[in-house]
Parts: sequence; structure tokens; C-alpha cells
Amino acid sequence: MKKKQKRPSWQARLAQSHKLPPAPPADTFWADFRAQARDLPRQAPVTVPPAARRAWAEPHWWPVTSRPWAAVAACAALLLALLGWWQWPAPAPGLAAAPTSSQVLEVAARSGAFFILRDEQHQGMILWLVADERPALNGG
Amino acid sequence: MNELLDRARAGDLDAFAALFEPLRGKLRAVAWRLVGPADAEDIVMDTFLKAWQALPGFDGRSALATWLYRIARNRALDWRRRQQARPAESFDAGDYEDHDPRTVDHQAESPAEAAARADDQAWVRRALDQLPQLHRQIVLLHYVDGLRYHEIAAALDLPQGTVMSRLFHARRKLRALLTPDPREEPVA
Repeated sequence: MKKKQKRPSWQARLAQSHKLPPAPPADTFWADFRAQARDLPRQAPVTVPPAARRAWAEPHWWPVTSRPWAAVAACAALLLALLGWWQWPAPAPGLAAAPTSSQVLEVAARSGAFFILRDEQHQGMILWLVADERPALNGG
Repeated sequence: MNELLDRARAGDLDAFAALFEPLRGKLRAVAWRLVGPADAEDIVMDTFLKAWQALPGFDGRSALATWLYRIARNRALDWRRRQQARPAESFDAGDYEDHDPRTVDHQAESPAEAAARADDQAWVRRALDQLPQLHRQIVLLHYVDGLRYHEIAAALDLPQGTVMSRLFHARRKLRALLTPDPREEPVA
């Protein structure tokens, strides 16, 4: 009985077929580089204090924090959205009473709520925003 | 690392070589995938020379590797513009013809094994040729050359999310093309 041969995966085949040839030795390469670089003009150095350089190089957990204007713009957009939300009218009763819809997600806040509903009849999703006319949902 | 960087900035060629030698392999891969084998080594040297000139202005906002790959990409674009000015063949046409894979690491194979391998490689190459050029570059840089998503993004000037989604689609297509081998009978 012949021994079953293991076929290489497609990634191994790819790596084998497109592998680069060996690089020139480091000594040769950098000697060549030194010979060419020696007489090249160089840019003027930046005058940034080392402490600031280190701060820039540190990764941020959220890219927006490194861009103050983006954070300010996001806050402004959020404020406008909240104001607009407050003034929106309640949804039409017919939509709210759609018997074929089932609730997927509900997020409630003091000033209103939004729902995501699955509409079984029309095979779609409904995003439903509700603005409460009272100051608080459980204000009595 | 920081000491080497400061010394290289100040004009120390040895420090520059020590600092950038670990990046040479990946930079070379980027150059190969961007311009093809004929001019890749020139692009590598050109990139390091440009980096040497610009290093005093390197402000540290990005990683050194990312900065270097961006320089390489710009040098490759310059190379392409020069190529387009000439009525020569494009990178796609030239691709890997100048590179003989037998020189890589296959000295001790029999003629039959060599023929089978050449056949297999031609098949893989045909599958890869069915991908768009950008997908091909991303696949090779990731799977063959070992670059990470953010490194590929810097080398190709793409958002990292674009690199990830292109790689996903390319991988799905390649897997479909390469997994079932229609030329081979199953070995009992």
C-alpha cells in the first residue's frame, strides 16, 4: 500500500512559487550604501523636543484622541442629533401597531428611546425613534 | 533603538545601517511586489538613500518601518512614471520572468521532482494571475513576505480596513482556485 502523501496547503504552494531569491549580503549592501550616501545632502533636523517626540510615538487606544478637531466635531454632531431627536414627533400609530413586527433591540433614555424591529410581513427592518414629551419616562 | 536613531540622524552611517538592517528584508519584498524583479534592488537602494537624506526630518509620528515603506512606495511610483514615459513592457508583463526559482533553494532535487514543482508553481501562478493586481500584491505581501496589515497599508497607501477586506476576498478566491487540484489524481 502506498503511503499517502500530504499535499501542501494553498498558502504553502503560494509561498513556494513566489518566494524571493536570497538578498545580497548585509556587508555588501551596506558598503555600497555607504559609498553612495556619503556625499548626499541631508535635510535640516527637526527642532522637536525629545519629550514631545516620545509622546507622539506612543500608540493611542482610540485614534480620535490624537485629533482634537475630530473629537470636537463628533461632540457637536452628537449635540445636534440629540436636539433634533427631542423635537421629532412620535411615530405614526399605524407603524407602531404593525402586528407583524417583532422587537429586536430597544434602547431607552430619559428623553426617548429607539427600537429596531423586524417586519415579518415586508421582510425588512424598522428603525423607530421615540421622543418622550415628558421630562422623564418614569416621572409619575 | 532611540540611541541608534539619534546617531543616524546626526550623520552616523554605521548607526543607520544597524537601525535599518532589520527592515531590509521586508522593504525588499515591498519593492519586488511593487515594481517587479528587474528594478526591485534599485528601488531598495534608492529608498534607503532617500531615507538617509530625510532622516533628520523624521519626526517620530509614525513608526520607522511605516515611514520607510511610504518612501519605498513613492520611489516605486516615480519608477512607474518613468516606465510609462518609455514604451517598455509593464510590471505585469515582466513579473517574475527574470527570476529563476531554481536558484532559490532546490539544488538537490531529481529532474522529475523539479518538473513536478515547476508544474505546480505554474499552476499557482495562473491562479494568482486571475486576481486583480492590487489583490495579488496584498496576498503576496501578507502570505509570502509576512507583512502585517498596517505595513501593507503603508506600503500601498491604503486604509488598513481596505487591506483586510481585499485580503479576505482574495483569500476566498485563491482558496477556491487552489484547494481542489484538478490535475492530480488522489494518491491511494
